[in-house]
Amino acid sequence: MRTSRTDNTGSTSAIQLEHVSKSFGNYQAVRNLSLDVKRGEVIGFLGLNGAGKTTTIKMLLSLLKPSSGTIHLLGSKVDTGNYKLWEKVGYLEEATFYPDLTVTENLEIARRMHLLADRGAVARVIQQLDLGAHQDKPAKALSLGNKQRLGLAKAMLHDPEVLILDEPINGLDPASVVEIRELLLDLSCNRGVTILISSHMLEELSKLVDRISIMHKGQLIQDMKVNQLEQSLQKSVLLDGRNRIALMRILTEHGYSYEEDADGRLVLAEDRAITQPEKIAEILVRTGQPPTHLSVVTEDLEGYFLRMIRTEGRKHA
Amino acid sequence: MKLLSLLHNEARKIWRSVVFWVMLGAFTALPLMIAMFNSSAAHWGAYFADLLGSIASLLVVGFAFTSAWVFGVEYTNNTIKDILVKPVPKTYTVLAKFMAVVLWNIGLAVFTFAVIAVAGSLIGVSGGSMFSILHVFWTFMGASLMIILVSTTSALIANLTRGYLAPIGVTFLIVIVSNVVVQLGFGPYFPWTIPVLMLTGEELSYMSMIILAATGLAGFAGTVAWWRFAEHK
Repeated sequence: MRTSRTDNTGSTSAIQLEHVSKSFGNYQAVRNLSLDVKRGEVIGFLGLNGAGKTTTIKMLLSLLKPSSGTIHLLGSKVDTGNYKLWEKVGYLEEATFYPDLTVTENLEIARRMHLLADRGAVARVIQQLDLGAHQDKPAKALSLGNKQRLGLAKAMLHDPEVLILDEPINGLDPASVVEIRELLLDLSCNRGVTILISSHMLEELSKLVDRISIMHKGQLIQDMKVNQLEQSLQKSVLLDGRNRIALMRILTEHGYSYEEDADGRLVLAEDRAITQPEKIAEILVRTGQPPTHLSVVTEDLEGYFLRMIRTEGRKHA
Repeated sequence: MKLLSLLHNEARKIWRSVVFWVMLGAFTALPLMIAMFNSSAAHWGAYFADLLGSIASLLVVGFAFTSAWVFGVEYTNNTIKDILVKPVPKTYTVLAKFMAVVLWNIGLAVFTFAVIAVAGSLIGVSGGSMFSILHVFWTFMGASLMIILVSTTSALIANLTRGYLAPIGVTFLIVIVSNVVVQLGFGPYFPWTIPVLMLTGEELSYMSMIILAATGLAGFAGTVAWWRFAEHK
């Protein structure tokens, strides 16, 4: 059960975009985007390169002004003059730092920029992100993974209520990915931090988020809870045998339709195949072509994402 | 308190950068070379008169670089967004940067004067009183402050071009144009030649001061406006 923070604005929304659009000349990067992220939610923001994710994140951070529409964070309107808002928001767009300064010095600069009187905050975040062994190294000497940790440390230093993270696990080794995932889950579950996270590591994202939003060509094409997503994932039967030509012939004779996957295995998506795969096995055994592989597989997030993008592409075609 | 905290950050970035030591090296070697090769005067008054024109050009380029670097480095490191998404007014951030530039440049001016004074002693310049040397020093510092004032335009160019290389190019162009402007007799009306003329003992009119102040103010206000309103793609 995730905890949820509230503040004196009484708003239950942490991130709220209403009919937001952004154009650069004739190019419309974001079109009429509306999104409401509740406090304590972890939302995954997906999209191909150029889908409008980074533009949206930049508008959330007031680095870009929307051409139309309004954005609120924690009930406060996002505006270049509303600097107080950033007391409660942490962000990582890409790991940036002063290369000649040490990890501690970089975090000290961030602490002073946040006007935090508590000098212990730097030591705590160094410990939290496991940067202790590197704290006196110049930032330029860090590995890519540790640079990413430093970026996260800067985002988390001031104990924010909202974290906006663009590709936070890029460059991390598998053990670090798990560590960062657990850290973010802890922030969300135990401290009620709202997290908007954009990533291309879809499988990893699916282990972390409550909700998935998919952007394509500047528009939000899907926005759903992860449990709803599970119901939307397609199932199929994956089939292989020693003689694929014979398998195809037998399946056709028995009225099954199929497609071939990239490895030449047969994929059956119809309901009767999924609900009764044993019937297919029985037919193949009876006709002397026993399968070497037969399984019911559920589409993963990557598959779902690509299917959505393809469907959207067909609509526009 | 906010401003002091931000100034502390800027000082740390400067102090811990390679550029700080490169500038110190340049402001040691170049004045020494100018002193050694440009003057054969035996008297302090003539010695300073021989050198200060060239030294002023060095300050114009050097101060333009420090000003451009303090702002431009945030773009080259991509830390500009880190600074913008922080709970402090952007005017304070810009002010802290300009204060750091002023302190750094004043330090460089004092250091440069000390270098040329020591170089003069080493090559045997004599014949002036401490009072006359101090008089030159204060005029030198006055001109340095004027150069610092016009260097705000380098900060603005660094922000507009999102880096510190373009303003350096512009400054070299200004130094070349300055020679032409002085030859044509428009020196008192060109912001970058006014401090040099002051240093070489020319009488300056109020108009020169107004032009200088307006240029400095335009650089400062433009930089504040850029930080306040520009979009960052």
